[in-house]
Amino acid sequence: MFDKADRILTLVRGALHKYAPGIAVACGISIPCFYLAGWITIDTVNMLGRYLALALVALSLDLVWGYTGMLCLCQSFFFALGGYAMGMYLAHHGGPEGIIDHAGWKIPACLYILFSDVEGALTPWFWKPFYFLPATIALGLFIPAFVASVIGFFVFRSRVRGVFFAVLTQAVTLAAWLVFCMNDMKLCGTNGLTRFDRLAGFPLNDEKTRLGLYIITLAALVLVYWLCWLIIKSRLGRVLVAIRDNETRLRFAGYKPYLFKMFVFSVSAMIAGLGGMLYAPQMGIFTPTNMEVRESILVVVWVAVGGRGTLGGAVAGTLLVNLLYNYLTSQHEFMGLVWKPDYWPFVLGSLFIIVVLFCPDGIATIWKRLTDVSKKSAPQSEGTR
Amino acid sequence: MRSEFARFAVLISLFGVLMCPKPMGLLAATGDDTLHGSVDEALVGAELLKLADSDGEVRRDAIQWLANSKVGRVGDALEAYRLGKLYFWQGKLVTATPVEGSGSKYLTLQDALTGQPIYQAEATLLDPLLVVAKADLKSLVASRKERPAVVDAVRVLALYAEDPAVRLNAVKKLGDLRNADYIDELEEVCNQDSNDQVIFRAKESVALLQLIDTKKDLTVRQHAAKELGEMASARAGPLIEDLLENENTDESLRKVCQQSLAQIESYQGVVRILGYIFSGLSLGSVLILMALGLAIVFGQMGVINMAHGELMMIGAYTTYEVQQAFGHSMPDNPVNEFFWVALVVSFFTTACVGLLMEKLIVRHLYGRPLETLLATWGVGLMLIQIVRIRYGDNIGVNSPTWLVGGVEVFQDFHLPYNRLFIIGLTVVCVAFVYLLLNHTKRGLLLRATVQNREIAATLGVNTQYEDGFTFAFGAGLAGIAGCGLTLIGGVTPDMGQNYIVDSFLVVVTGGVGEIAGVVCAGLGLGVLNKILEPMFSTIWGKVLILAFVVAFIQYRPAGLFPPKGRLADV
Repeated sequence: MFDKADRILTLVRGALHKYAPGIAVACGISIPCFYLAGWITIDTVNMLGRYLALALVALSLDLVWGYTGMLCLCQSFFFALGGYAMGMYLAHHGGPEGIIDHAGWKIPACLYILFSDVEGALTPWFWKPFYFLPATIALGLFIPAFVASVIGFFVFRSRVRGVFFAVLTQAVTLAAWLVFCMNDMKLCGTNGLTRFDRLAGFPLNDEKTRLGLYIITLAALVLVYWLCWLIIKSRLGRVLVAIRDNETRLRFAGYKPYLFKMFVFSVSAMIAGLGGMLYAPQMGIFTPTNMEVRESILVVVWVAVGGRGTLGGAVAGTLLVNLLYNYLTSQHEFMGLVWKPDYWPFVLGSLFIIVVLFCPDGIATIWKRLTDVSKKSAPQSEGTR
Repeated sequence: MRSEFARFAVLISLFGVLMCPKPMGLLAATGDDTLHGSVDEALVGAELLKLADSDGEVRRDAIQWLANSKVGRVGDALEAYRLGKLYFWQGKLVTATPVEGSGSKYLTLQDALTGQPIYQAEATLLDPLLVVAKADLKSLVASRKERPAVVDAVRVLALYAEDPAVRLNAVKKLGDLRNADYIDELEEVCNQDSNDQVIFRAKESVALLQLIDTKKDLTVRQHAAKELGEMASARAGPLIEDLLENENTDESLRKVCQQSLAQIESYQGVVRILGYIFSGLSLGSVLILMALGLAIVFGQMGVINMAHGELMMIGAYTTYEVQQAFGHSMPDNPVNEFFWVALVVSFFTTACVGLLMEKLIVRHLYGRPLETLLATWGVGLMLIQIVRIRYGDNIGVNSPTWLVGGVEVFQDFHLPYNRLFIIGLTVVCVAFVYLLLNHTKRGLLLRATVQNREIAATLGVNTQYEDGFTFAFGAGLAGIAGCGLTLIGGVTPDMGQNYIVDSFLVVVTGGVGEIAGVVCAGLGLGVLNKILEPMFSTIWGKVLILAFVVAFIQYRPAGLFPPKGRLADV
């Protein structure tokens, strides 16, 4: 009898291992079904949609950090670039109607309130392309990729690596955050982009639109996941792992690592920008706080908790940490003990330390140990420098 | 081993000797003799007593008389009178201080004229001060009618105060009032005062008043304008610009004014540039102070300590705790010694925290610098939250009294004492680290570990011990930096975040091969920052600095002073 149970268990474990991505997608699709069945509210769906958008950012970091070994602390900057692109589109089509400047261009409501000189107000030129959705989407992908390739060109060519790279990208994020907070930049300062109303004609507060956004985000995530998987499995992906494990040796073998690094950095910036574009309409506001240094490091936690160097780990880590965050930043009482939102940083801090000290490959290893029934286990990723 | 400790002790005591003598020489008030004794004390007392008279006419005459008495201390009494803090008690005029804890129901008294405390008739040893219930005092307040006269008298009497700083202030204030009535008083100060600065400012004020007085003779005004130009007076700048814009200004006066303005502007330009350089040095020294610990730890172990800013914050909060323990508070109860104790205590507190971090976390992560970065960031996050829960969001640390104010090196060029102190502190810390690394056995062992860990271990160096020492020492330096920063900035739980990225940039630019790298990069970035800031804005200045650093590492990827040996390849 035990024998039979054992065999069933093995079968289940094997199935879990083999069809894990399929099961995950099925879970993702089941959420709208639950909503339609009336088991969960649209707010829950919306929240999960946002987390899926963040999972895109985690995937992008995983590509750069987990596979190529470059700890990048400006992922939130790329995320925000995409978010601002979409936010500017939404601001154009939101808020109270009827504020038209001299040139006959409608000034977005959130920008208008920042002008001191109401009469002479003009919409800045760089807002105008974002009136059109196709241009917005194209720019939302292109701008982060362009910025990343410029940063990458200067930083990778001079062989800045490891900790130096992390510090520099952190400084870039800080500088960008300061710039976006300035009122003079006509990017709505610390208020951020607000008063969103409709996306391509669909009102954002409508439940169907929100459900649609969730489904689009899920589709985007699946697509990007598949793309990343293609990259990883290709010869290109092997070069990336080689860069992580021994860049010097790769250079001596005749490769130019900086080209590969620039490429993967730009691709990852594009993915993060896509995440931002999907996040903005679901959040309903986009402010510079989304690009703080802290946010960048949070992305690192998601990936680290999930398991870097595994695409599934990045997604799982994002969902797990964010759901935990969602739960632990409200007050709970348990057997006379009170949990306060104030304690959340302790959880986050210990997550950092515990993962780094005891579980460098995140929950992905636990999952692997639970489900992998084949005797030979996949080679462990070497400690990344 | 013993000789090593002896050297270490010598270093520590050297540190102490350098730090300990209070820079009192800098602070002692310059030359100080006043004009008093021109009027009979008793007479002044009698006139002052008339303020308690019920007849308004008598009071008005008394104020008039007192205003001309040229006794500085009368000004204090009149100021108290204006504010309603002057009391009539048993035939005397007194000011009062509330007894602590009585909720200002009970007060101790001081003589209004001399400021001497009033003692009990039969003094007991325990508490000789006389304590009076508030109900027994009769408060005297200047009536609405008297107030302008009192204000006027206070202003003029401040010219005769004993403290030269008060006189200096008074002289400046009268010049800025644009009221030509004060010229006579100011000229008298010019003739009689003994302090050069006061005389200089008095002359400046006289010239200012003469220049704007349209009733004055044109030649007098021209002369005043010329004089102001020669003085390179900063205060005259806007006034002269006003005159030049005014169409009614006489042509000849206009010409003199233009000349003077050019003189003033060229001088003030030089002063401004010197000011930028000084604030650049000051910012640079803060950055060095921060980056020193960071660079030592990074050079030794390849570990970027993201909690460095938080260790600094702990140093600042330790300073706060020491201040509370000493009961130091700003004007009431200054206990200046607290600061020296705080420097030492912050060093050791943060060193302990650092040691704990090293033992529990960092030592398990050697060879994995990126993961140390994450783990230390987690520690920093928790430290911030602990402090936030314990202390709330904002607390105040008061500087010692001798660090308040500044010294005017030459005309219009002020150097605040706290900034000077931080520069001094940085110099001492850098010297200390240099001596420790290059002239002690401990330093030799540290350098050996940096250059080749394995060989050093083979030769009997306890590299784990060295690592622990380095980490704790770097953390301690962060504590000293935090203690120093309380002098120039607010103390908040996330204060570390404001400086940390900048000090990372210093480490990146300077390289970790030598301390000189940190010093050069810190000063360079500090001065560059302060020069760029006024040219662009603060934020664009920062962006430019970043661009500069990125451009710089194009051809010096490992910083100004790249590390030697095998670490170079990490």
